[in-house]
Amino acid sequence: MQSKLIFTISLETLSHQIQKTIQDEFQPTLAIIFASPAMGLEALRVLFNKNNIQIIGASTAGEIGNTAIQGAGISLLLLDPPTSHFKIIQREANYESSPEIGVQIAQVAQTYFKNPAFIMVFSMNICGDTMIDGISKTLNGYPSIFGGMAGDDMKMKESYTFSNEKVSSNSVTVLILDNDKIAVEGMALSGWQPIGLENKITKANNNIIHEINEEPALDVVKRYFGDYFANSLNEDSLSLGIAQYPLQIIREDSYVLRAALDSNESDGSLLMAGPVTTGDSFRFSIAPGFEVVEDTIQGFKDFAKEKPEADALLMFSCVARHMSLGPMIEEEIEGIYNVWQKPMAGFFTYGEVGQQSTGTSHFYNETCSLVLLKEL
Amino acid sequence: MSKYALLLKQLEESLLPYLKEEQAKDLLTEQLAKLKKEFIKNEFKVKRTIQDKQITKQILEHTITELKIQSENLKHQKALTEEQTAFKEQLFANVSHELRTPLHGILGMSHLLENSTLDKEQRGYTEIIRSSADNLLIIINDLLNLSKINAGKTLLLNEPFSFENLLTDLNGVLTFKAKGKGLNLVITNPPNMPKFLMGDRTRLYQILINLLNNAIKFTEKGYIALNVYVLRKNESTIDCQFEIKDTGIGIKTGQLNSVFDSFTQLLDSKKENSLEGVGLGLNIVKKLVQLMNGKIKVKSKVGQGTTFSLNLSFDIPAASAIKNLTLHKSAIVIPTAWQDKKILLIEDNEANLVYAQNLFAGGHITLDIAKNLSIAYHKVGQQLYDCILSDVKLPDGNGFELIAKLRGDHSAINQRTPIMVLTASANDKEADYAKKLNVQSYIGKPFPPQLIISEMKKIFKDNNVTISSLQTMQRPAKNRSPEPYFAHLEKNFKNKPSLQIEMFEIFLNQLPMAIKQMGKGLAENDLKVFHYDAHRIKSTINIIGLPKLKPLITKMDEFCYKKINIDQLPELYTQFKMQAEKDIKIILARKEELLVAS
Repeated sequence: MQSKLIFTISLETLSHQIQKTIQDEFQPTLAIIFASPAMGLEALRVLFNKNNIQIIGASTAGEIGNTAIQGAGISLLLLDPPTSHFKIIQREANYESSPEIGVQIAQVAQTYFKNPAFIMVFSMNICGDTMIDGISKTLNGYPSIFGGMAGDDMKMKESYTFSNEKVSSNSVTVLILDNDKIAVEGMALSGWQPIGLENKITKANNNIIHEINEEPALDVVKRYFGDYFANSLNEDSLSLGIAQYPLQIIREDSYVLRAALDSNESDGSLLMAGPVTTGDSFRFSIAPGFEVVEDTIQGFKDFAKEKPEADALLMFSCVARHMSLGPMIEEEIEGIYNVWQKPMAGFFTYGEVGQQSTGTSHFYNETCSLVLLKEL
Repeated sequence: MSKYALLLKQLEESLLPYLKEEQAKDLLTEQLAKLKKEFIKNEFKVKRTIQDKQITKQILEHTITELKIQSENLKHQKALTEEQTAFKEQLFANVSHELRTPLHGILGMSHLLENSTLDKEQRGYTEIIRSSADNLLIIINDLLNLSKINAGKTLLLNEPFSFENLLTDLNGVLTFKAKGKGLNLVITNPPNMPKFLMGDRTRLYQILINLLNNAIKFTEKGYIALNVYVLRKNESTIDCQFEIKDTGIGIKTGQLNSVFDSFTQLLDSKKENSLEGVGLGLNIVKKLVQLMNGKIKVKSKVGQGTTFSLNLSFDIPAASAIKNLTLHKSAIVIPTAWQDKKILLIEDNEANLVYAQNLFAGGHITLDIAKNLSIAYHKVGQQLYDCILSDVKLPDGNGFELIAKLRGDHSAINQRTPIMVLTASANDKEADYAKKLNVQSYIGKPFPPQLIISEMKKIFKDNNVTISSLQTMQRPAKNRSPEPYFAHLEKNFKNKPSLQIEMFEIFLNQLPMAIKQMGKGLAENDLKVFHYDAHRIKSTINIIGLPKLKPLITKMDEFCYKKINIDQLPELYTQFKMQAEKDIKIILARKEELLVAS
């Protein structure tokens, strides 16, 4: 399977490059597109429809292309797998319907392929965690599920996914691959370390934490972080916010990171980038230092020993990770790209989906999830 | 733009005009761009590192604060829990005491009733009252025991004790009970079993008697056996097995796993209403065995019998420890030759009765009791005794009246029976009188147990011992350090906390009544009433110790007896009452200590 990366900040350049790649006798059948909402997503959809290329796309909070990053641009992979090897579906969904939508996606996938794998992007009103649970439970195993929650250039208002059919701010768009024809492998790494005492979420509803240790959640956060982030919590931007110090939610045999996206001063609640449950225990977490970059690269180098080959790479990296690592994120991306040195498109997400070493897929924050695509 | 970025820009602007070749210009721009990127990264790293350190510091400071708060909360919780536990224990102890006090009354009264003239139906009712009260006492004691074990308040002693003596006690206590049901009690002790062990005699006794009592309870014919086996032994330690075997009704296989659970009773289908207690006995046994780091197992066949096996390890005491123990214990070992002796104890004071009963327990002696002169007259007319132990002051008269009558009546069957007078008001005048009445021993209370035994040894060795050797056996006053509060009790019942507790309870029962009656006597100018209760309570005080109350009551008793200094009695009585209030608190505290320790 051939793959080409197009990494640009203008639609005009994009159109030109698409024509150029086609002229090079490369006949793409599939485009995986990550683009800033500012690029005009509808125009993008029309453009690819004209070129008769199937698309799956998501709006971003910054784009990744091979070793580079950018904002307000486009990063896309053009691939040429046979159309029989994949299907793209788009479903309208919201937070509450997410588990059921997960079940539906799995059921549809089963009608296409015996052994399906999933690349999925979804708008920020959808619960990634329960949707993935729905897929996993329906398929009764450990299906390969990767992807990310679409961004909106950190405006935190609404994010979009799109297919050839439409652009929607209430949807999940899924690329279902025949895993017997195209291997979909990957791994998610975080490196964040817990700090401080264990706390308990005593009142939560979906992805909103109302109370921690029976106190308003925001009061606890303020007490923990002093005045350092007190002001930034109410800003529209996540920059320098508490998102860089996510909650490490303790689960039976593992943990998941949940970053705070916003807060509500009037009721003292926190809006999280993923679901939390009343009764969850957690500790705050912190990047152990810039060695986390080296550790992550090494983690993927180790992974490459088992999976040395790829036709293309996809990267879903948390925007809060970007904020936390600053320019060092480029070193991380470059280091990871250099392991396989294949065309890699990605974006900075509001939450990532990836597999742990146990084979289970989860929805994370503060994580770098990498996907290897390889035609068999 | 940062300071470094600005410097780079200035450098680029100042150098570019001097470079003529485009390639060199590109190279400079490229290198400067790389440098700028590195500067930006490093600048971010520094900024980020500072931020992370500040955040880490804040989180850790908060964590420390939280930990301090948690620590304080835990301390508070601990104090609260301790307070609640103490309250619960106090409440439990009080309730237990409150329950046991009237129970003792019921038991005492039923004993008196049984000794009175009753028709068959009345005797049956009396027996039911007594056995019901006995059962209730067992339940209360079991609950108290279990509560202490569960609260981790049961501490084990590790001191030398005579294992042989323990087996003798078990045999003495249980033989009669077993024989009463037509059962044989067999106790086997291997020759290589040490005579002395280190450990908690009381707890081992409690375990074994519980299992043996159970065995007797559930066996209608055949035998009960306690077999001791030595499993492993060296100079300093021994592992042994106690096997308690019966030929009773057995336990169903399905019930075997739950026999050690609380509130589990083994029902005998033939005798559904015959069970005692609430099924705590075996639970207590198991917990005590676990406390002693031992193991207990049970196997059983319905209709054939049950065998409990418990494995326990003990240290073997050093020779020096045994020597002290032997000296101490040998004085109160009752010779086996006294097995068929019949003794009459004429005593009205409950504390003295318990004291004497305990002294002779396990000695195979038949101890008959008369709590007043009338009963004593009746008994001495019916039965020949080997020895009579008599108090002087009795509710319905003076003990010397009976002695004088016996000695003067040639037809009396107990005319020549050796007599020991036990009195709380020992004095030379009385001792002389006793001598005249051919009383063999005149002993002042409180008496050490070994004194009674040694005196009895003399009596039984030479039934015709002359009164010339008689002397007042009061313990000589010595110059010694202040007497501990419960000196006498602790000395004589060192390993018997339950007996000490019982004595305290008797005293706590008697004291308020004595104070009330003495007060009444004073108010009504009735010296007889005052003296009667003063004398009674003096006897109990002497048994316990109480060095502050003792001189006051002794003085009052003496003044009443000699009819001197009567005008000082009100003042002495007031002092006695005040001191009694203080002593009650001390006794209650000590009693609780004993309850907790046991």
